[in-house]
Amino acid sequence: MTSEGAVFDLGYEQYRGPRLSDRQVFWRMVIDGLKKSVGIGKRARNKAFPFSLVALAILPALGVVVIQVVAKIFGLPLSGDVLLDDREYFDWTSQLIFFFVAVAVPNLLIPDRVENVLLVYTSRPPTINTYLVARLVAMAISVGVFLMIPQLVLLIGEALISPSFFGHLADNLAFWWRVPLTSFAYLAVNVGVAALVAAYINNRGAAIAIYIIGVNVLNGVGIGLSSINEYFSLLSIQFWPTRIRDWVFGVNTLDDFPGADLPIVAVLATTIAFLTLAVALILRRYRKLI
Amino acid sequence: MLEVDGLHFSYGDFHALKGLDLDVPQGRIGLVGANGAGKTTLVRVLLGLAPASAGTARVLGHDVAIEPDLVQARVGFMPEGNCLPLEETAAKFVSYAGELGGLPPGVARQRAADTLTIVGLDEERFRPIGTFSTGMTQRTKLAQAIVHSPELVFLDEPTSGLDPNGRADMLALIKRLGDFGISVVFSTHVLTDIEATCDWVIMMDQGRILRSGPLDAVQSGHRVIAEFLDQAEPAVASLRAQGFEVEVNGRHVAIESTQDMDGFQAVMVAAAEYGLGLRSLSADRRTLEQLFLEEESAERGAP
Repeated sequence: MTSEGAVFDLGYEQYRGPRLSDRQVFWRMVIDGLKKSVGIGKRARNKAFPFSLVALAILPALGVVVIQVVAKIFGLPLSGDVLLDDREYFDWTSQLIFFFVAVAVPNLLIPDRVENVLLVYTSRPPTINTYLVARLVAMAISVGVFLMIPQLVLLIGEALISPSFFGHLADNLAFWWRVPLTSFAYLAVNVGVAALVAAYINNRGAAIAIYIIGVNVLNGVGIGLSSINEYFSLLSIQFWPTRIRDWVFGVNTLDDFPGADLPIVAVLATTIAFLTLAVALILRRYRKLI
Repeated sequence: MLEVDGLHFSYGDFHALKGLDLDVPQGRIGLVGANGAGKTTLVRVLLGLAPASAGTARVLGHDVAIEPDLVQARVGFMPEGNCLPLEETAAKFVSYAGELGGLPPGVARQRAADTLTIVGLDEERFRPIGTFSTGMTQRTKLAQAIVHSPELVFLDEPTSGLDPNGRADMLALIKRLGDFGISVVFSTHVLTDIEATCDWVIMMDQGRILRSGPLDAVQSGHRVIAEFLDQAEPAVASLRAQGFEVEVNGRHVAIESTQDMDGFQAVMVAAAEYGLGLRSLSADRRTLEQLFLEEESAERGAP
């Protein structure tokens, strides 16, 4: 007989049920990365910045749609110049994701490394490569959603006020390759630079500062030196995705930029070479840790 | 459980493991040695985190170089230093650690709660780990190591930094792991912790194995201590004549058994032959510390 109210230690039981496959574990890691990139599960102040940026990305698109709807209802004429199209909207969202990535990537990579949590992860079946790919996929999804949602808002809004919803979508089939490809260019360059910085800097604040200041300094240096030779404009990292965007959309919006006439092959080769180098340096850094 | 054959590991020119051979059964295994003996390196190799330079290591029947994922799916690891995310709660992190070990999310949450209760963290589990004391941190590290139901768990200096009460609690938890059906490799330089918890001991020094065997056998060695009721000279002379090494201190006699000759049997025969009474006859149990110092001196060729 035991006394009433006694607390029992139920002990430990071995788990003999089904286990997650490697792929399922990988997606659990991706979901963890997604939550951390936007501060879910953390204090409110951790969520404020990323969600503010998301709002800033989406609200202007909604505003454009609302203006179009109101103009249509009241039969007001609208100049195309006052409305942003999908290509122009990247000018706005690319600035926002620059800051989003500046904060999210160090948050994703630095604490796990500095706090030595990687040792716990890699003592289980996922390898360090699995971890890095999961983090990359998490960033790709969050930045991709960040870039794509406002574009979809614009497209669907325009379709709603057009005479034929599906006719408008059919007329804009190019959207489905131009926007994702451009988004990928912005994503790859921004995340590549931020991840490279975050892989070698152990302080989150310092990594954010180095990324923001470093990219802007390189932009300035690239523009400054391009008067000597236009290929120096390739030092300007933010020029790469913008030039790729213009190439994808078949326009040239960089008339004032010295490197505007550089062959796209040079820009693509520089971007791919940089990303390859960044991946190699990040892997080298992480393999040394384990 | 652990089969190691000719295992070498080097950090550049420094040879951290120098040709280890081991065959260790399931149970609570103590891995002892001074700082820098190679304990942590051996654990990392056995976990598949560091590739051996030469030799093979099998854990739970799997070669860690060929099937590290199969090994890692069945083991847990509690590292020595910090390995916890300071901004997360213990409940969330241990649950996530369970998922990485293959538990479905719902099961991982439930087992995280159960495991944290077992290690002694109740309401504290919902606090950020960065607010924890050293003892709570160590308990959380142990919880993440066993949440996914491993068959074997490697504990690297689990009592490090704990006060006496915390140390006693941690040792009690380690002893209980055996009752849970989990084998333990407990790496430490604190020999008394091994004596308190383990049933097998592996002694390491400078990247080599000094001794590996059941704790009782290792401690008792081959030495027999006899206390005679009368003067022991006739028996001592007889034992020496048979080839035993004998130390005499009054009526106390220490006899070194050999592989071929059993000291117990020889003392009893000699006592009977000369009609001498025996007050006591027992194996000479040495502490691990005595044993370790002896082995270490012998290995280094010290006097």
